[in-house]
Amino acid sequence: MEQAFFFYFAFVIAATSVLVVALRNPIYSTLALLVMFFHVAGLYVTLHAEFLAAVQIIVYAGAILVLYLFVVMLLNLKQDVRYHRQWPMAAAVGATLVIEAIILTAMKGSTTPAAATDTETAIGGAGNTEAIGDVLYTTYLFPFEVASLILLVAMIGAIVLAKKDIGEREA
Amino acid sequence: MTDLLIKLIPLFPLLAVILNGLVGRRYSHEVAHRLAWGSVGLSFLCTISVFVDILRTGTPHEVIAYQWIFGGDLTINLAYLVDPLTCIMLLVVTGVGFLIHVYSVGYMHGEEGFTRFFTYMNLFMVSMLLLVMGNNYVVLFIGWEGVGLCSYLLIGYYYDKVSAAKAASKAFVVNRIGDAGFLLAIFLIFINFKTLDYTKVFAQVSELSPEMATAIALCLLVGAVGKSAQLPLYTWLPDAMEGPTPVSALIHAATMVTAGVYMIVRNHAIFDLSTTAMTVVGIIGGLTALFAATIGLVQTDIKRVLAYSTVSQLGYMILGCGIGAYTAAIFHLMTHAFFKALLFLSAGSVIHALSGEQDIRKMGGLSSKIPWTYRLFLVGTIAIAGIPPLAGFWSKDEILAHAFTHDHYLLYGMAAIGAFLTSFYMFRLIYLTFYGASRMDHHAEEHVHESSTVMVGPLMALGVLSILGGFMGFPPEHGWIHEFLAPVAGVGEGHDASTGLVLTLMMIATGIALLGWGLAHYFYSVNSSMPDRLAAQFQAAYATLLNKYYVDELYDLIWVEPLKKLGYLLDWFDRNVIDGLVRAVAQLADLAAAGSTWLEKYVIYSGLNVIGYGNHLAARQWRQLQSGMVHHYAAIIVAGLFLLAVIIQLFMQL
Amino acid sequence: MTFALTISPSDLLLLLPEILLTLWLCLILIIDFSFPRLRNEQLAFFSIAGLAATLGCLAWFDIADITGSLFGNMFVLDGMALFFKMFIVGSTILVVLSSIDFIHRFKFFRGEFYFLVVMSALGMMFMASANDLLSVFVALEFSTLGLYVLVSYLREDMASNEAGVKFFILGIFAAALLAYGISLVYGETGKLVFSDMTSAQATPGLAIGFLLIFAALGFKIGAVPFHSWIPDTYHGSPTPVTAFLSIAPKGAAFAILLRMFFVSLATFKPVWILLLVATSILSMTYGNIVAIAQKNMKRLLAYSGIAQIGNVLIGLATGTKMGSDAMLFYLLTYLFANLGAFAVVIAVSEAIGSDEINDYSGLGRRSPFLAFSMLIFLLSLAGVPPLAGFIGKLYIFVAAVKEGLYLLITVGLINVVISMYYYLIVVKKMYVTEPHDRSPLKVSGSIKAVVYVCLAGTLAIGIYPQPVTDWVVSAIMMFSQLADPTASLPVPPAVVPFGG
Repeated sequence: MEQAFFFYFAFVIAATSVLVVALRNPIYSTLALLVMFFHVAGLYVTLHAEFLAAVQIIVYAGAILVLYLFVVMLLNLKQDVRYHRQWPMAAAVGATLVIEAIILTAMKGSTTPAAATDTETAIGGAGNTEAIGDVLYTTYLFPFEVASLILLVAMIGAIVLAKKDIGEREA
Repeated sequence: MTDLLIKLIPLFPLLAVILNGLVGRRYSHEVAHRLAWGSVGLSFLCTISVFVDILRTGTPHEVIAYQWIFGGDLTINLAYLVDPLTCIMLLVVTGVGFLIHVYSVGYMHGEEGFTRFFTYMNLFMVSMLLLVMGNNYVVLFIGWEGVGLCSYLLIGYYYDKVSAAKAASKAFVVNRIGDAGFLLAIFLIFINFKTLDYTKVFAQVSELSPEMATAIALCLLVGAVGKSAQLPLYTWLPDAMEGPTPVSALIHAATMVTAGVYMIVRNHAIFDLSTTAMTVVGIIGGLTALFAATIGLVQTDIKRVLAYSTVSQLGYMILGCGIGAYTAAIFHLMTHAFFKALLFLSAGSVIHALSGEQDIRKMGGLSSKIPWTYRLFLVGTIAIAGIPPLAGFWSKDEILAHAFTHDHYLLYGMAAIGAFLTSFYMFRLIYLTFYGASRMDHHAEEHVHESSTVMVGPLMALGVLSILGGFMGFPPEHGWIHEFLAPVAGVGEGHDASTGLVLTLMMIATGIALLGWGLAHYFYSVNSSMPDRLAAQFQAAYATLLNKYYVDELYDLIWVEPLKKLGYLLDWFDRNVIDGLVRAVAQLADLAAAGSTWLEKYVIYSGLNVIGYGNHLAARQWRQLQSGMVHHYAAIIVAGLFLLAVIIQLFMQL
Repeated sequence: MTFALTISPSDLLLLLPEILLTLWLCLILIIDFSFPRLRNEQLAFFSIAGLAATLGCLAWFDIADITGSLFGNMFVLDGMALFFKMFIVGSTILVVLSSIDFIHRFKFFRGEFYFLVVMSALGMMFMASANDLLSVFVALEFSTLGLYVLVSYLREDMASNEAGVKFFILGIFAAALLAYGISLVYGETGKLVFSDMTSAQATPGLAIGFLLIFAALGFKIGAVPFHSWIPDTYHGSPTPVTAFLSIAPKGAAFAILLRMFFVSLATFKPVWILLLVATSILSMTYGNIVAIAQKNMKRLLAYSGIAQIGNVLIGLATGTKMGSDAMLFYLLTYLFANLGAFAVVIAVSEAIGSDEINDYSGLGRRSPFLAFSMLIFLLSLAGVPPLAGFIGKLYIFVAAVKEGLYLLITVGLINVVISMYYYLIVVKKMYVTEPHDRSPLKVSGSIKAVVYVCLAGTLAIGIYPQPVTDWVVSAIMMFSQLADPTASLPVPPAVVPFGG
């Protein structure tokens, strides 16, 4: 039963990802992206990582996608009339990846990956949110703090790239 | 004390370089040139002292000047090894170098880049000294590169001239090709011996397999071919004549181009192990000697004739190395330095006298106008032609004799023909330049003047050396130089030739030289109003010699005929045979020259050009991979990943 | 499961350089908006002061041997990390110095330029210490994010924007590859920290995972086939940023590569040595050959950089301690030569407004100082003795000889010859070709300072390499148990005989 859910989610994720790139109308692409985000959240749920699923929807579908939609609307992007002939390239790359994937799964052998532990046992019944919070502030404190610095750079960078400086407006 | 002097030898020119290079603009030309030749002179004095010491004790000195990279497996020091071979090279480099520096004071007088010239010359001296004095391959290579760089700087000294700039680049690039081979050899040596010091390498040389010895020797040969302008990497040397004449004398005659010969002799232990490599060395030397000589026959620029003659003489030295006559090769290197420097400097004097004219078709009749230059040029010509008792004869004959007595008949033949041609074209040069009616441009003719003492002085010194220098190797195979170099260059295989054979070979060599002279005289001076006594005098000597050996029968035949028939015969002989011969030889020479030029242009150049063009072509094609489109780039990443993944997975399956 | 974290003040001492730099960054921002009339140079010097203080702190750590690890081995401060941190901070100081004149081209947001440069440097310092995959990812993205912005700093210049966009898209692609690789590796091993992964089994998933991580790191160092962003990005971005890009991220990425290959992949040496041999040959050959066709100085240096990285990869391909020593040494020589060359490019660009090689004609006449310095730097890059580049190449080749990588050495030597050609083209243009305009060029003080420092470095290391060799050898002590412990770069013997 779980397998059925996994294959459904995986298939839709793959399909909508391709659609995001292939569709000509940017609004349609963004909506395909939205569908993909939901299904990724679904995958998280199958892994018993409910917190991540919720965060996925709130942050990605709620904030990032909305941002994309705003940008698309503000830039008034029309349908992409010029169509670059990329099918040969896309087919080649796709074939490459498919072959690799087949090789990977075929040659996998019978060893179970070392990280295969059930989430429930891993967090010892502490609840998703609490577990993540614990880990983030203890074991993974270092990347967490560095991530905060990333936010600072992103802010300053965005302002530098996009904002008209006060002097510019006057000029 | 000697060790200190050894360390000082390269330091004096280095000091001059630093002073002249950095602050040269602040002081006058007088100070600059005094620093320049003064430093070389001091180096020469140190060399003499060191030489005397080695003469007395016979033990080589190994001196570490500066520990650069040391410890464990890899030890590279700036260290010097001074043994008899080094001594000879040092004497040549500092001695001849000193004379040329003094000469340059006069030649470069009034030039704007006077100080720059001397800075480069001193830099060259430093590099060349490092090259010959180093005790390991790294110092050798540093000197090797340094002389290449200075050659580039000095050939392109007149940087305003496009031809000079092109010639400089050509020299550097062709040299670089040789350097690649040399680098490979150094690494092969390191792989096999785990050390780069000469003494340690040569001690273990017997452990090499024949194939490895051949490989190393051939790679070293590639380096020598590039630096010493042998086939097929000789094309840069004639073009290098674009530089000022003292540069041609010092770098492209006496010292830098001989570095290849030095390197082979230094590594003779490796070459001795591989008969294949020796054969290749000999053949290349012989072919070059012959080939370059044929080209020299028809050149019209005075410096080019000398350039091709240098290539040819270097061929002799390389040939000598190839047949195991290392001492002979070094001996010829030394004498060649004397007379070639003399010839170049005299040519410079001629050019100077004619206000820059270098085409010998526009010369003639200069012997009376610039007598000292003429006389010294003559001395040099006689020396290079290999006419005894001047220096060139002894060294060249020794190589020829060695070839003959050790059954290298083909090489002997090539060398002998080359000697004949050498004599011929050198005398042709002197006849066209100094004899006959003046074909000079009138303006130049008015200003013809003998060069100043500062230029003629060194010429005289070199003249004396060209006359007397040969006696260092007298008697052949047992002269002073043979004993001196024996511990380093190895004693050649037992010289079991009889004195009679030795004398015969000497006579043949002389005969060849004189034949060349005679023929040149006939061709270029028959119609001149030049004092016949000189020609007649030498003609008689030539005739006498010939009489003694092969002409008796011929003349007997002629003499039995009645006088009338003799008259008619002589007349017929004169009109058809000799003139026909003249025409035939001229045509042959033209053909050879054209053939050589064609070979040079289409085969050698195209070979080198193919490599260069191939690079450019590849560059242009591969450049298109950078299309500018991001998705292409991403595709390249993915494609690359895929390839690498396949390689890894294949490897992991095995 | 309980997660516990204990940090003591002595642990925080290990983070002192980073903390110091972070505080300084905030100060830069504050000062920038508090004093709007502040001149560029003052802010630049302020930043340099902070960087210098950090450098001093790192030097103290190195001398006093203050090392350790934090956060469960996720942050490691050992000799190698200290080396690379000093490397990065040193190059940042030189870049900031050389950008002082360039700044006037940015109409606005000048203070933020310094902020972003120092931020990226901070990110790279984190990269140098990162010992597990998650920190690697975060630090990598952190430093690159600043670089994305810096590359497009000239907002009105189409080239700069284009360079930024290309860099960004390809950079994100690389980050995606990195994330995928990390997830595969984690899936196969269940661990993130490098030193915990040593007992991993060889499965295809693991191999692909590490290959993808290698791809992302290869992207940063500019190895073929992950190099495509380099020419366009170097060409379009402001030259100080190009200079920064050409050296600092490469150093940081190499720190990660060294840790990854020698610690976690130690048992799979034959596999990744093959991988590195292939990448090295491709990089050297491609970089050198395409450089011949270049007409723009920045692009030429870009391709030459690709080829130089190919050389460094030879050192990595040896898989020995000696090779790693040689790599660090070579990177240091590359730092001086490359930054020096770019400083000259900046000076010329300021004076005549062009980066085309043709416009360098006659530089020997117009500014002997610049031409001579450029000559030295190019000769060092080409590997001519007695400059630093020669010794770097020598060490790398000796290390390769010891391991018997004869194919690599042959290709390397051939490439040395090829590279001489295009370096000499520039030299010829500078010294032999006639300039259109003979007026002398002015060089500002800050650029002169940078050039002098780089000249000093190039010459000093070339003539007296021993101190740097010692430093490098002691920096990589950590690998000694994984490779032949006796094989390392020469260490001076106890008694040093001097010729008498």
